[in-house]
Amino acid sequence: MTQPTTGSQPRSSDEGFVVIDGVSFSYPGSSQPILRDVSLTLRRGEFFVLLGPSGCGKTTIMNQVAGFERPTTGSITVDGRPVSGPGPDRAVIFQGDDSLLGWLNVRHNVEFGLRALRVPGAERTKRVQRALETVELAGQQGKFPHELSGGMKQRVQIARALVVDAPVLLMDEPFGALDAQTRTNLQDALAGLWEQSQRTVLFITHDISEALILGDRIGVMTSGPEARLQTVMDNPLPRPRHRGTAEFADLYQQVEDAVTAAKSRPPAAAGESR
Amino acid sequence: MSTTTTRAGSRRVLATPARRAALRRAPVAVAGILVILLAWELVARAYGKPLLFPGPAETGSTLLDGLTGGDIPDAAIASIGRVLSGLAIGSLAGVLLGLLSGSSRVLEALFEPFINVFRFIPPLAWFAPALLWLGAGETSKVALIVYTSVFVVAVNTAAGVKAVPKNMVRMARTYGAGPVRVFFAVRLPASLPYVFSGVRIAMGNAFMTVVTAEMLGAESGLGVLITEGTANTDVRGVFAALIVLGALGLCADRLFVLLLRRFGGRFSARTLGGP
Amino acid sequence: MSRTAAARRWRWQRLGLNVLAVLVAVAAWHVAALWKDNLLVFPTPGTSLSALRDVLSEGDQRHQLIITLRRVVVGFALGSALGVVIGSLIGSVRSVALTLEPVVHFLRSVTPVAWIVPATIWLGVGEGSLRFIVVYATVFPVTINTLAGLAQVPVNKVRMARTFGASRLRIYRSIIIPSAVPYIVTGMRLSLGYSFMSVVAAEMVAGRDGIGYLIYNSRIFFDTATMFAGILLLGAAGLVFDKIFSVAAHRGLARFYAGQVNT
Repeated sequence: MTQPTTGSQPRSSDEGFVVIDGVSFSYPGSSQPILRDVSLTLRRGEFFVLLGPSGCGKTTIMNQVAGFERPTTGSITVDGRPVSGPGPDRAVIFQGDDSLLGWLNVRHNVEFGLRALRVPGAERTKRVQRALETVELAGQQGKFPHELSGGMKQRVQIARALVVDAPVLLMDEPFGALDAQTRTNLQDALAGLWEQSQRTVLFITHDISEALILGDRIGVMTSGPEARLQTVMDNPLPRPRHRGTAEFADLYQQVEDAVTAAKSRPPAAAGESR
Repeated sequence: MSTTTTRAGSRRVLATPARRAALRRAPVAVAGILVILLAWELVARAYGKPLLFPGPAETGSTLLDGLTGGDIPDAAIASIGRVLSGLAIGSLAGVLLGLLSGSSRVLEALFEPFINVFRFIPPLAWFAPALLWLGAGETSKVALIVYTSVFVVAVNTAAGVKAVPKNMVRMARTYGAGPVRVFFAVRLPASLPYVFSGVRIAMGNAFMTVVTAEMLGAESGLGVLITEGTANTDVRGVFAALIVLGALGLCADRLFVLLLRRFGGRFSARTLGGP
Repeated sequence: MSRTAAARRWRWQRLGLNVLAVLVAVAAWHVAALWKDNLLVFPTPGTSLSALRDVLSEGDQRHQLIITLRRVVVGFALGSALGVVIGSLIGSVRSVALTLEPVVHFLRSVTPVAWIVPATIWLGVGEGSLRFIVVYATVFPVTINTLAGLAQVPVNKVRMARTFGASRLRIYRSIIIPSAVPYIVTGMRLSLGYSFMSVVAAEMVAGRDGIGYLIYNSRIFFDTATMFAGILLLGAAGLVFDKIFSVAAHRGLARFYAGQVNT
């Protein structure tokens, strides 16, 4: 493992890499916005966790950054370029298993993106093998999704995202459907993985301890509708992080207070500024 | 990499608990069939007119004669041939229709009135116009089978296309896949189980339709055997034909189920029981 | 709340597309008929419509339709009832299941109309044999679906009943059968379609009245107008029956569907 760093400065550079500016979103024809005026800047190489109760619009933000949906107002840019649709610069790891192609084995699922990007065969094989080894699925690459456990299926998704070397990773509560044991194992594995690759990650969860293990900064959202970003907190804990320590417990308490405050905050009336 | 697992896996298949249980059940099933045959024989004896209600023995010998004599195989081949050609054409057209209909709301709205109207018109009702337009030969019968298959397959295919998980398509788009790649690499394979299911139902309907059409007038086919039996008041021949019909339909259906289980099982990523 | 406004707008657009499709089809029909140029065998839409009107006002068509529908209703009711009974029998007694299930699958693969010959011999020419065929066509889908429904009862419901000491009969009556209702209904709806198919086939092969007979017989006189009128009535009847059945089933039996994702 790499050396633990101290201080609240993330190792990433200071310029905004993923810029979410004044984004509101409502479904066409609907008057009530799901998101109201959310502004957020992710630095390059930063692991940012978006924390909030279920149904508060966190997934909606991710969908906008991914390019699946367009903001009603506001803009989103990645590396200076505005987001207009999905693309291989922002790989997505979905919440369930329904993005996995059941008729292809693990290796072909991981390879899918490379094929779509027309990467030549020899290089594909090399990169896929490396990605599978990183997530420790090299021995299962001949298996099919329905033969895998939930944790393994999520690892396939991670490998699929890693293999295209996407600078931005978007993860929508990827460990939400797993049992506690698998979840903590994968959290630790993901944290270790990220340290080696230093990609920019936007990670969605409602689990505070997960946020603390993984995130450099934690954005707490209010409940929907008209959800807003309540506050952004730094996570000064040095990596690698452990759940049992006193510092962890303290930080947990702080975050929990922030979440409770955010939950009870009434939705802003029209025209009222934050 | 995983060659070792494959070999061990195939050896284990024969000894799975499911197989063992099925083998244990076999004697009871056989006994049951014997009971049925016995009941049949008793009823036939009671009826008293072996030409009008033959028992299993007479039917069996007629069946054997027909099978070896060449009547039955020829007739079966004729009927099967019609079903297969009509099914092939109809399924292809139905898949195309269904794919288009399932992918586009607009196209679906355009096709809707026709599918809903023709769905409720039994194929045989069209036999009369078909005879007028296409003559009394093969074409009219095959056309009827095509009609039977198209709508069932189309409806099922459309359902399959609509059932493709949104995230699968999104995932493909994040890797820059254009609509063509998304269609062939994601939408099409994901819809296949539904397509198979539709073709299976269409096949059952096709058999029904073809036999009736043959009964109404044809030179070959199992339906002809049945009408011949009527003309000669020889119910034994009819029963024999019925058994062949049943066996054919059953085998075809089982074959489908087998194919579906073998190739269709992997089309959903959902774990079959497990975390 | 305003999402339904968008939905409403689409519904109108969809209707418009429906109408457009029909108009285009009728226009294409007209052109094809003119090109074929044989009004008797391939009439234009206009000719068909007026012929239809004449034929329908005559009254004979409607009479034939009622005859056919009566056969459908009687056969369907009888066949469904039989199907549920046989399915329940097979589903509850293990040995019966092993014996009868393969027989059911075998018999089901035989075209109903193929039985017209034995049926006529046993039940005579006329209503009896025709009804037999409709019943035959109905029984098996209902049986098979009933079996499927009985097999999928969530085991925890049964366990719950057993913790309260419920007898086998009570469990059957109040848990297993109600859980199977959606499946039985699906089977019946399928059978309704097969009833129509088989009644038409039977009438064509061995009937002397009914819509099927009428349609088939008209070809001798090259009377395409009557043919189309019959086909139209048949399709309409099938549609109406199907609609009535599903609405009635879902309304009347709504509570058996509660909590399920699909109807």
